[in-house]
Amino acid sequence: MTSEGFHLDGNGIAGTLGEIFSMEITSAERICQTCGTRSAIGAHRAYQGAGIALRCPHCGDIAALLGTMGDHGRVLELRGRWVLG
Amino acid sequence: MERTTLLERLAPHRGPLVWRAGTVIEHHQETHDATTIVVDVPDWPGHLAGMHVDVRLTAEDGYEAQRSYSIASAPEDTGLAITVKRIDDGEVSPYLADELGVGDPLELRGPIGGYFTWHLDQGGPLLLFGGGSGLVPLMAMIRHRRRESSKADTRLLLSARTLADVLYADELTRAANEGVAIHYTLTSEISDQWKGWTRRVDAEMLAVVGPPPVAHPLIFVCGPTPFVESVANQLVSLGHPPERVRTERFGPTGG
Repeated sequence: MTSEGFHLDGNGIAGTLGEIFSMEITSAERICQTCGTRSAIGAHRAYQGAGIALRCPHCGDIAALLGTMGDHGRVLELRGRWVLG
Repeated sequence: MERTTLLERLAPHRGPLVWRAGTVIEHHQETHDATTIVVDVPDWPGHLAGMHVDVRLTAEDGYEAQRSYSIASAPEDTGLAITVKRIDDGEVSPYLADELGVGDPLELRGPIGGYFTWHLDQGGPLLLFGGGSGLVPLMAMIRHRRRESSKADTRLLLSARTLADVLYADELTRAANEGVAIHYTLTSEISDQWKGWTRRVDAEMLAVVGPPPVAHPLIFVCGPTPFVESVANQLVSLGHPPERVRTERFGPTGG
């Protein structure tokens, strides 16, 4: 996979998340289940490989996992408290 | 909530994200490795400065490649502009830079985002930090300021490798003449002609660029991850509240 033009944060995967959420998600916030900090989804770090991992910008713990899983098709796992406003 | 309301007001028809078929109306070389592409997008719902679009290329065999690009044009501009840095071994950018031309279709969806955005109503001071092509969404903000004849206190610190790598150089000069304080640091510039900064962003630069935390600037930092982390951390150390420091990270410097 090339590193070409990738946004490595919640802003960059907002289009993909927009296939799932009907609301604008980058300005929503999340309270981390591990370190307790509150950050905008746009500020979270994103890692793209076979799927997408979104991580807390402070402690690095998982905020969301999105990918495809065998017979399940698309799978999304959200962690922490997502404050959608 | 205030931001959501603003967004809804500016883009009232913003429905679910759909792929739209645009048409390239302008295609020009910006620097030695960057190309600006202006697209006419039917039924474009409007955007805020700082938002981006996803671009999708589909090969004849059905293979798809998708990339996210910041919007370079102001909301008030005609046509939607993106500036693409050409990565030689990339899947998408060589096509966009070399093969795509005026009149060609281009599929995109957007606008995307809402966190890394600025509208005049949010006021200033506006403090912008761009690393390389991280300038693109900040340029949309500077263009928006200009199109609205705003006098908002706006300052930009641009970090680029050399003078030849600076995007929108002429327009930045014009912006400087129109009251935007623009500072450059050119980390690989070896020309004797360049008398300015040649190092990574540090505390001394931040003090020169200002304004101090007491002025409560709204801050946008965009560029490669190490640039963004370094600048954002220094700003927070200086006393800027983390919620006033908005970030957008690109891929590795080559990105």
